[in-house]
Amino acid sequence: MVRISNRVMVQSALDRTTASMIRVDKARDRISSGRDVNRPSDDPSSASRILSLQTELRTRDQEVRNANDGQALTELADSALQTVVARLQRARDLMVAGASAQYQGTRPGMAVEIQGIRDEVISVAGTSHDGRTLFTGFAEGEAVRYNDGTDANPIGWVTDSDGGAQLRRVGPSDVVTVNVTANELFGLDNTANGTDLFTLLDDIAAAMNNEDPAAIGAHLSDIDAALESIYSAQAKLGTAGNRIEQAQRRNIDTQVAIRSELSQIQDTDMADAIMELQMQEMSYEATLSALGRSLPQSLVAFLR
Amino acid sequence: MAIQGLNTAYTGIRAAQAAIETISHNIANMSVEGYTRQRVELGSVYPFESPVGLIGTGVDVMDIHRTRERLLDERTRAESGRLGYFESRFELLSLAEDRLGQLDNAIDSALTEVFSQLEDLAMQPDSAPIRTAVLGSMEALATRMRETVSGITQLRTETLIRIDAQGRQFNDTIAEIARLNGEIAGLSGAGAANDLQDQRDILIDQLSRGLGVRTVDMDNGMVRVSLNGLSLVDGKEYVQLGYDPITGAITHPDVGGNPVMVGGEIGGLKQFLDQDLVALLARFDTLASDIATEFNAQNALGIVQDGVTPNAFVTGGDLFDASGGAAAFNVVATAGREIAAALPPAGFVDGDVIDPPPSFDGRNVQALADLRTKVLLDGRTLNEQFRDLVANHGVLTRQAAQQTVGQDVLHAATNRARENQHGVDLNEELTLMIAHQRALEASSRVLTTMDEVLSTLIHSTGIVGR
Repeated sequence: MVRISNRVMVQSALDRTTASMIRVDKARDRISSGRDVNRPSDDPSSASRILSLQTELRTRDQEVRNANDGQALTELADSALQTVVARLQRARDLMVAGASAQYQGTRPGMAVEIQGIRDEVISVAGTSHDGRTLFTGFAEGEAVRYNDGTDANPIGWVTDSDGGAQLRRVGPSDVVTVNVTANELFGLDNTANGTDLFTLLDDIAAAMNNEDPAAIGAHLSDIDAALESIYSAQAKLGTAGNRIEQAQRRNIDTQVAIRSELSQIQDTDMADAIMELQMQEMSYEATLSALGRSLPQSLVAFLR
Repeated sequence: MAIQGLNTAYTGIRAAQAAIETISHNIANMSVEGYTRQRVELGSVYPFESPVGLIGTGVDVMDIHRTRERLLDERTRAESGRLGYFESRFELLSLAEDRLGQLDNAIDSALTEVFSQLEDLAMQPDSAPIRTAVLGSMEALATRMRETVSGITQLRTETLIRIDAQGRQFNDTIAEIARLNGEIAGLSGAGAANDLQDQRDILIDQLSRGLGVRTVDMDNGMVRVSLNGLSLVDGKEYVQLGYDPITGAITHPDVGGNPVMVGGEIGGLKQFLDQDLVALLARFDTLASDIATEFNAQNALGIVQDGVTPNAFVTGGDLFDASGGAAAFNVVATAGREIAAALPPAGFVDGDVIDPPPSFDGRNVQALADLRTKVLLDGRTLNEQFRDLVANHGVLTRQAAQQTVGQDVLHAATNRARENQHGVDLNEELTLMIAHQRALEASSRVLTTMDEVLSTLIHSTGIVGR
């Protein structure tokens, strides 16, 4: 025969009430914390995914910072180069004028301007951003300087640039070169062959001073070649800028996707949570009322 | 004959009284934990031989029976031992889980922060403040690692203290069971030892839950209690368990003070100490050692200013030290300068002067930052190692939680079955009480009738019908 002892009745009623209360508490916790996964054991694979997504988000964030820095560097370099191009075009105009016979006697004046242009280009080449010189690669130093024999380099125009490529990681596997160096811009290679822009400008100035239109005319193709290398450097910077911009756009899309996945995994579905709380509260109240009705009942109440 | 009848009626009254008193005892104890309801067993007394044949001489109390069923006890104790095991292990796994850190503030995020700071430095390798910030993030990572590991190691100490304290308590319990055995064996008379047996059963329940013991009944109402085949209580004799403060093992004198396998709560604690905790800490050690190895190796590929001769460079030194395990994981580099940002030029030898210095070369810092995605020999990145560790522990804790819940249901069911059998049902007691009350009234009535019969014989013999 199945017996029910009074102690068990009391104990099970108590157990059931506690269990029901725990469920209510859990449902409340889900709502108040706003999280479905609060600890790894709530859902181990989701916990691992949450950690991974958080790292992902932080990494994408860093890529935005990298890209911003890269963007600033390329834009700054580009505007510096625009100045250089404008000055060199002015030099070319002077040369075209100097090469024609009618400017006889004004050439020394032009030579002064050419030298001025040279100094201006040197100063622009020394542009720095946040303490970093733009055109020296990895090296700390001057993009262009005149070596009068104080160091081991050949005498003449030299550069401290080591030609190093500044790389910025702007996407998971998207690395962009964001600088150009004095070497490629001005044909500086620290050898004595004198094929650089500054030696060229010096030569032109000398030809101007010598009132030698033929020599000036002969250098026209050289100055065009010099401009050509600046243009190609600008093209490189422009391409880098475009790549960075596209990477930024992709990055934003990715971040939105990550955030939405993160929220889907760890955030509470409020509608569902509130429904559940309501259900659990109802069942808790029902348990309590059942407890109130069943416990006092025994034969004692009916015996006289 | 009438004289005998009086006596017979009296036995009826006496039996009913005994039954009602036992019921009263049951009702009084109905809320006492471990109380077993008692029943008066009545039996008819030997008849005497009268000239007309055999006539019964009434009723007597044969025994006051304790309605205990050994099988239900066995079952409940086995389940309660398993429940104790799962529960205590789950409790500690869950505590260890707390110490792994919040999901958004774990070692994982500290590591990611280091990588991000490094990437910042890669953009501006000449910036002293950023170098300091990188070093700061490395310190934060090392501190987080040490705190996490020491928090988990602390659990070991706490568990050892708990095993020790519980072990002492169980030794007291063992001695008390032996003492009760002696007392029970010394008592005689119907139901004399019932309440002492209840007390002893509660103590055995405690031992079952704590250690997972088995019991065998002996003569004179005594029990033998054994742990994994080794005797703890044998009648009035008992042994005291030992405790190894280093390993937390429970030892038994019968095996020369060697550790004995235990179940129950202590078994769960031991499982956590010997398996779960060791494995968890080993994972942290591997992670710390991998971080140190990878960062140091990459830093050694780069060059740093030696800080003495201007523009003289040397190979980068160690950044982290994990030789003392995760618990002593620390940052060796003391200045931001020591982070090797630049790569050495071809043919570089320590001490070479590089002029102008490659101050804007952040290639090696970028390589350090790229360790973020480097897949190590075990097929995982550093971050993934930690994530796996968390997921692994999460799975373990979850399994333990599910085992505990499952076992709780099983234990509750067996325990309810036992309590239902042994416990007091008020309705039943009251019904029996009314029955015995009626029996008492009837016996009284018989007594009165017998009295009248005797009275007739004494006072009216000879004048009947006059």
